[in-house]
Amino acid sequence: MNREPEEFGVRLETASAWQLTWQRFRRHKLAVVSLILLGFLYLVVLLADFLATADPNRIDASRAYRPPQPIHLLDDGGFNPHVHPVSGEWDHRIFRRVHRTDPDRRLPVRLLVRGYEYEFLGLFPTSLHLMGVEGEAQALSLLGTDGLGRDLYSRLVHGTRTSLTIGLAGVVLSLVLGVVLGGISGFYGGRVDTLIQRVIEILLSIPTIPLWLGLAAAMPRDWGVLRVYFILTVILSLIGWTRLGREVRGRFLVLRQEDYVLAAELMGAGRASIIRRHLVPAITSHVIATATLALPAMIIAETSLSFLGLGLRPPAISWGILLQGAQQVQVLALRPWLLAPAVPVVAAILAFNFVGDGLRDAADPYSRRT
Amino acid sequence: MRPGILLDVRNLTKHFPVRAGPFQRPSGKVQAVTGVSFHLSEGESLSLVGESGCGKTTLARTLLRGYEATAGSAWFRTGEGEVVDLLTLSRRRLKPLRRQMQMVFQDPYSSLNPRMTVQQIIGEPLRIHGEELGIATREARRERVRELLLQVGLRPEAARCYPHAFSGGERQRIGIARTLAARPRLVVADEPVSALDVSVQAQILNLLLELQQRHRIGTLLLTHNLMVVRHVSDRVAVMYLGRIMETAPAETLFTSPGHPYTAALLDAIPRPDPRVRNRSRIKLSGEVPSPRNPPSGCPFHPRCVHARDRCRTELPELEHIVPGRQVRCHLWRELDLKGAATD
Repeated sequence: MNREPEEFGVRLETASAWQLTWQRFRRHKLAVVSLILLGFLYLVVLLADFLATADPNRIDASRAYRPPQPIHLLDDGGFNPHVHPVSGEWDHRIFRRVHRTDPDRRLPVRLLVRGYEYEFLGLFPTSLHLMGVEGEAQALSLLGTDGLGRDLYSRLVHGTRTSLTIGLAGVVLSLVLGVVLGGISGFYGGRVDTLIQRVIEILLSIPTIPLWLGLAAAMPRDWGVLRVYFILTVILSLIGWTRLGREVRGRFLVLRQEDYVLAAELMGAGRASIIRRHLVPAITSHVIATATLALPAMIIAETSLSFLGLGLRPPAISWGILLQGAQQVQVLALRPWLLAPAVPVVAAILAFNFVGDGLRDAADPYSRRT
Repeated sequence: MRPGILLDVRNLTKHFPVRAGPFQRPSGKVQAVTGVSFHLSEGESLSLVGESGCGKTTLARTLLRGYEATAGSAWFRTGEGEVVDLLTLSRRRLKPLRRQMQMVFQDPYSSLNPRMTVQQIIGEPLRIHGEELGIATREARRERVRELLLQVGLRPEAARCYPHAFSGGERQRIGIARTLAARPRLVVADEPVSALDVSVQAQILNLLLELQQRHRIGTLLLTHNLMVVRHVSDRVAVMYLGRIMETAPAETLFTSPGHPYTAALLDAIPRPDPRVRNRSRIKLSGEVPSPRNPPSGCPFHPRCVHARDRCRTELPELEHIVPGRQVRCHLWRELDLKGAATD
């Protein structure tokens, strides 16, 4: 060997693939902020009852359409958060309920107060809530109330729980189906490939909304709305894997031409080992990107179907149902706070998209953003 | 098969069917390799030389069962002394033999998985054939990879890096280390240096040569570069359009080529001597004919300056002219062909 002896004293720094990915991801500021926001939203999902100030299903006609209530932090120069009590009465001259604030009375807002009973994470019953007015939970309405006097903030918190979780199983199932069937199709080729591709074409030709309507009507009557919706998303994921399936097939077809795959084959590696070690790692970044795009799609689907009255229906609470309650023109003019659920919808979807962008760029060693 | 022979290829043929039309009806065939025979002794280095598209890569991949051969046989003497036909062996019996036949790839970029560390890349054959190689534990694998990296002239620390951290030449060294990891008896090197800088080519060739001699590996070197051949080969076979046109010991081929095609290739070697100017050169006009529609008679006749009527109609046999020397030309007796300048 005519090579100079190396300087072995030099320390060689290496980082694992995950470290590199994380470093690149951190450089994408918007994605990091979005990830934090998503983390916060899923924390809300876990702690919905704890964060809610009032029972989201408690109806009280006398509190209908109450506007958002500001919390006053200072009282005579000292820190003493409080709200003024609001009383509503029907005004016969304008045919509307008017809410009057009583500026002389003060209701103190405290942290960790007792409110309605619930089961914490389904484990044990408790009545502890993050904040509220001691003894009179309904007195506080941070984001106002809806037409039945239900507290909008508490409903929004509960709606977040539903909207962010109900489609997850469907998304996971369609990802798994897409990767497995697309992978088989691309790896083995031949007849299996032809068969799977024809199945994909047939599935793609099924119109989703009529199928949705038909299935919704076919579900047993005695099932709850949440259960029906869950089953529907799972059924729809059985036809929703097709796009990812095609993409994975394409990637596998390309990867099979790579010399390193041939090298592994000539080395005597088994098929399973080639798929596991050489093919699947090459598509992970793509699958991650697809997943982060499928999640907002699932949220949008829930929101828009429920808004149209096809998805979830009351008494379930979700973002779509809350927005459905804001459908009338009067809302814009008289009760704009009912549009508040649109904010988390937009925020969550943007956040998912930014995180998806960031992850895709970070996980792919070939996209060099410097 | 004579003792000492590692690989004896007889009449190897690979034709690819061409399908066309909406029903994929076979409408012809690409005659990539036709009736190729040669043998390789243990520890010997044989070069297959030819232009792009002459069937070298097809030959290599058919031999290693990347493709299924159309006809022919390839007798291989295994490490256990058994003689088997690689082309008809069942996949199940072939698999344990894979270890003994390895390939060095042309493109050092696509032949290493960018998502694996060098440890994983070189460790892969050790993982697959750990039992035969006597390497069972992770620790033993790490130690062996370290050894291999030193053998190919890389630092052992390289094991933790990903391929993108290396230059083309270093990547090719990694590829060679992966090949050696399996302790092969036969190595097929498909244009191992043509993707590298000229300054690195010699290093890699020297490395291959040294390892071949040290481990007594039979090496089949496929190349289009005659200078490479002279440097490292014991014998040379010249291929044209899927057929062998001439075989000869390397030195003989250079000093007295027996086939006009060989002479033309030798003449095309650039000479780094400014005094040699305006020399008369044998020009090869035209392109290599399509293997889908090969010319009648001698496949080289459309480009041969010596071609006669006989060449256009009758395919010459590969004739033994002296022991160890074969030429496929009707005119080898008459032609006095010029060899490469000896310097």
